[in-house]
Order: sequence, then structure tokens, then C-alpha cells
Amino acid sequence: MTSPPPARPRPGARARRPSLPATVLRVTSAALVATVLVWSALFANSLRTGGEPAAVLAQPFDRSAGPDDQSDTAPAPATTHAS
Amino acid sequence: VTAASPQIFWMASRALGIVAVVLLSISVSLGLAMAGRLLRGPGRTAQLKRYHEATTLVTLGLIAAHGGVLLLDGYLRPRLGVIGGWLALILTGSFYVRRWIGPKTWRWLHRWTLAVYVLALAHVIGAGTDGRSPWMLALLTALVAPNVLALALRMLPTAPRPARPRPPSARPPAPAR
Repeated sequence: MTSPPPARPRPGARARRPSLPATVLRVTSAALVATVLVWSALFANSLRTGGEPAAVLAQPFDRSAGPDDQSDTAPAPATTHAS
Repeated sequence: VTAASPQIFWMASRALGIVAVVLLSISVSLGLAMAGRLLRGPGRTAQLKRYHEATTLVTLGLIAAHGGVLLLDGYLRPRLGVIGGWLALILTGSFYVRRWIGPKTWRWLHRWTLAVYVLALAHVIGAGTDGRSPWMLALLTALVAPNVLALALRMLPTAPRPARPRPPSARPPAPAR
């Protein structure tokens, strides 16, 4: 006995559209992959440049010491930035 | 928590912000394409609407994560970014309550999306660590240019559509007096 042939879609039948949650899931996965790639690029760039700009920017404003307290090894004063 | 943690959070926030502004631009492009009927074809509008909604929702998630990671970093200042994020949330939410607020109010509110988009771009350029780097400016130009073009096309005066011929049985002729 032979097995019946697989059912073929009717020529006029429409392809089923993905639902909104499926589309959200698809876009989310693409966005997460993109985020990881961008993060990797930023991380690699910070390693290449010694991480100085990122380290300086990552410091909160109030943490920088006054001019009298700065030693030779103290980091450069943080530049102003806003979120 | 190691010494490298702030940098990791800072970079994660930057990465999330960059992807968020890309996705926001795509969402605005899809919305303008849908409103201006730039892409035609069977089922095209429904497809555009689905992707417009999906990209908007994911953008909101990315914006929330972008701000949330900055909180972990111990640094968050409520400025353009935070204001823009809240406005984006309110405008997106208005879509789901348009039955109650009415389509006219919703349409009026939805036009403010472009203002939020401009706020987001100002936030990227003015406050972003990479905001003024050449690659970011090139990326923003590539993202914004199609939207400006689509908006200009939408604002151009369009030729009036030809009136549809009425079917003869649509309205009975007025009785002669």
C-alpha cells in the first residue's frame, strides 16, 4: 500500500497572515540581535580606545573630586552630558 | 558589581537607544507609507498596519529598557529623552482607547507623533554619547530623509478623486411635482 500524497494547497487559497503577537515577537528578536551587535561594536571600540571615553562618561557628576583633591592618577573631570 | 559594570550598563543603554531610534524611524516610515498610500496592493495596508503597530510596541519596550539600564547605571536625568518616552507611551496608548476618545481626537493626537520623533532625534543628537559622531549623523540622515520625503508627499495638494458614478438603484428619483 502506498501512503496518500500530501495535501497541496488550493491554487486560489490565500497564505495565512501572521498575527500581531507573532509579528511583535519577530521584530523583538530582530531588535535584540541588533542590540547585541551594536553593544558588541561599542564594547570592542571601547577596548580599542582603552575605554577612556566611556569610563569618563560613566562617572556620575558628583563623584569627581575637586581640584585640590586630584592626584596624578585621578581621572579627568567628567564632561557634562545628559540623558 | 565590578568596576566594569557601569561601562557595561552604559554601553547597553547606548545600544538599546540606537536600536530604538532606528526602529522608531522605521515605525514612522511605515505609518507615513500607510497614511499616504505609498505602497499599494492586496493586503498591503493590513501588512503595513501590523508592522507599524509591532515596531511601535517594540520601540516602546526598547525605550523603557534604555531608561531602565541607565537607572542601573545610577544615572538618569529627566530631560528630552524621558519626556519623549512618556509622550510616546501616551500616544501609542491612545490607539487602544480610540473607541472611547473617538477617531477624530485620536487622529489629532496621532499627528503629535512627529513631534515626539523630533524630540527623540534632538535627544539623540543633543544628549547621546555618540550623537555627534559622523556615523551617527550619517545613520540619522539615512533614517530621517525618507520620512521627510514621505511627509512632503503627504502634505502636497492632491488632485481630487473622480466621483464614483452612482448606481441607478442607489437612490430613487425624486417624484416630479
